[in-house]
Amino acid sequence: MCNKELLNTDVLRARIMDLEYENLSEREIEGEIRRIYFEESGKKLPTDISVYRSDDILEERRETKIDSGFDGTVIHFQSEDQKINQAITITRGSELGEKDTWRPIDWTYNLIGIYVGGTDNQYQDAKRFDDEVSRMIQEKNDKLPLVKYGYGHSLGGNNITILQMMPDYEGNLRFKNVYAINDAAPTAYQLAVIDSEFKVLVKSEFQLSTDQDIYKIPPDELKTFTEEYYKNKIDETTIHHLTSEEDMLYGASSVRGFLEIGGRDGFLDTDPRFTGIRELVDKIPDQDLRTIQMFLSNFSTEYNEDGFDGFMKTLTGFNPLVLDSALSKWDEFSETVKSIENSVDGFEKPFAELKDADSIWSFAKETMSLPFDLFGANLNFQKELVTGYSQTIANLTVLIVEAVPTIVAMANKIPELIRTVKVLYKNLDPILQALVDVDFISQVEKDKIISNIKEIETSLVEIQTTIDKLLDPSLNLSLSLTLNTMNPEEQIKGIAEFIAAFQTIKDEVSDIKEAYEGLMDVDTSFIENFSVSAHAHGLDAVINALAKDKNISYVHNDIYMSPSGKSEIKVNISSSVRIYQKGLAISQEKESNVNRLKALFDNEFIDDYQERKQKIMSKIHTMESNPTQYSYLLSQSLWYPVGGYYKLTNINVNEHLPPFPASYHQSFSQMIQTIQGEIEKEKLLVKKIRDSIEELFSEEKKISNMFDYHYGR
Amino acid sequence: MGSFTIKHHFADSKELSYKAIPLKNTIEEIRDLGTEFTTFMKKEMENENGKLIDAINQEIIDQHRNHNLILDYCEDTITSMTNNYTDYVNDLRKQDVTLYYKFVSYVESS
Repeated sequence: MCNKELLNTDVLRARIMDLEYENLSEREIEGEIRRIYFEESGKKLPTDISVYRSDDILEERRETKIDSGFDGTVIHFQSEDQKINQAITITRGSELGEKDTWRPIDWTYNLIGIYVGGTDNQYQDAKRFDDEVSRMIQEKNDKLPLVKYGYGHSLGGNNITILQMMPDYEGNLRFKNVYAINDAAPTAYQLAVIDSEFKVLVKSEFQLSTDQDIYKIPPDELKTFTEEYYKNKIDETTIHHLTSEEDMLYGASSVRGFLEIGGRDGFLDTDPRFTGIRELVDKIPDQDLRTIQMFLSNFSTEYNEDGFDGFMKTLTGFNPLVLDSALSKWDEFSETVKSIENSVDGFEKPFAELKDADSIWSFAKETMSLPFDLFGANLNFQKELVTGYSQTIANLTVLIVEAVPTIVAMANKIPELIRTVKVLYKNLDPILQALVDVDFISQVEKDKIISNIKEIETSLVEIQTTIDKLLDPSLNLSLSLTLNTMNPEEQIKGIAEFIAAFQTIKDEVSDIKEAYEGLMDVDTSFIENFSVSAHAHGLDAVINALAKDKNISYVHNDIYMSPSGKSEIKVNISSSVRIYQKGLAISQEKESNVNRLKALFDNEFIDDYQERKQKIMSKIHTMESNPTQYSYLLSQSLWYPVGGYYKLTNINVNEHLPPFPASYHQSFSQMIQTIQGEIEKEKLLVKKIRDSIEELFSEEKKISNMFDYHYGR
Repeated sequence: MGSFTIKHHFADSKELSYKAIPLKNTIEEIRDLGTEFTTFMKKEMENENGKLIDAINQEIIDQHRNHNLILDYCEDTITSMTNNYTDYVNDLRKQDVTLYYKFVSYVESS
């Protein structure tokens, strides 16, 4: 085979790239690669696989640096027999949120790193990761030269393309070939940050005096200059783009600064009804784009120093840490309100009405007269009422005291949230108006969006007012007064106010949720176009487009096949194989447990019984052979005779040592047979699944082989 | 010369209910494997639909239920088997022993 490229089709490469988004363990990745290779090629992967993850390789660096959001994997294929030594570096694409944070770090890099050229931290992490793993592989495998390939989707496509454009420290291209799917094209602004030689050339060519001046260069001139420079510097035929016609990144790449480096064999049509958003994007004037670019470039320093949080804080005044804290406080607060409601719920009638603030007040007024009527007609009932009342007040007071720190924390956070929404509200209006002007959205749609945001702001202000009232010491019903008063009437009145306030906060939060849902429901063709475009961007759409002329489709990296002439039936072959293999593996494990049961039965009962029987027989033999040693038995049963003594002459044991009862064997065997019968039924079920699929696809020999190939997972 | 028969205990009394533990543990492992497969199947089938899928799902649910009932019955059987075994082993240790003896006079023996 001589180190020929193992993953040699677009669909195979796209499916392997898709694994990058599944956050699988190294063992799972290996199993999935073997499965996908077999499903696509019909052959077993002939090599060993080693997997290297950026989370492990860059672990130490991440402890000291801000998180760039970079993720990647290197898959190393090696076989001495087959003379294969290949590594694939996969740089992951943009994820809306990272594994352990809601922050859209990747998308911030798309904006600040690629569009503005304000940072290169993802590229630097990608380079470090690739260098480090290559060194590790070469140290371990020096018999065959290592051939490297680079894969990347979306932002990953940008990273992998730029890695190829920046030769390694020996001046060689890193990869034999790079495959970029629906990639974010590199920009001249980004390369000016990464490549210092290029930056010097640009400065001299366009006579720039400051870094910001790069945005003033006419985009077409900068693009031509940059493309020419890199086409002379590297062999661009090693970079292969695979792009969906409808892809949103391709649509957006018509704006200033995006480059075309590398080859592309046409476009994939992932949705015949739709041609993409490029036409829409072209309507945005370059002057506006330049303004946005220059505006955002002012925040590069904050991004480089404090990452996403620093960037957001400076751009919007919004501190994401406040949101983290507010979210956790909100959870605490909801828990407390729930406890208060449960506490009130716990009392039987007439206390049931306590749940509503008004009823508490009526109840309180009625109860307050009780001490003066203690000798009245309803003495017992009133006593009961007083006991219940005291307990209720005690419970509620404890819960309110527990809620105090949460309320204080919320009081500190909410104003900041309100400020942020006000900024958003103010800035969104001109942006939405621009979208109305270019017919992206209608005036009605714009009004709906604005009114929902206004609603959110109003609810936040209402929450703030409610909390302020609770904490204001000058008001009669403040928190401090309620907790410190000795007057039961005031206390009850205060508690009722608290419950009403909590209810108000809950209602306002529901309104915020409703307004947010209203925002999501604004139905515009603009959003529809973008959602089709976003779908086309995903690897699932690409993989299906690559296979669309066959009876094959893919969902979540599983292969679906339709029997010939029955395209309406789609069978998930990957899942069926997994079920068959898992079913058989579980049955086998159960069978080995049944064998263990049998062995335990033999050991714990049959052998044990024989052993005990043997011991008794041996004791019987000893007794019969040495009767004199058992003379004491005579004295236990006979009186001492006068003038002499009794001598034991012989012992005869009338032993009754029956064999192990047959009924035990029978009931145990019956039990084992029943379990085995059940296991057989399970095996039959998974075999039936396999048989029916093989029958459906009788012409496809490959399917039968799939069931028999254990890729392990 | 005389003789008499007594019941003699050749071993101490035993309590053998612990013998059920390893067998019951094995039954539990079989039960866990059944649950693992049912959970696995549910996950595999959650995004699929069609008549065949419905039939398979129903079959899996039925099998799992029957399987658990059978394993419950097996555990009960093991418990009663072990209790009976304790009785059986304790019966084994008691045997009839006949002692033969003679009278020896001090005069004769001296």
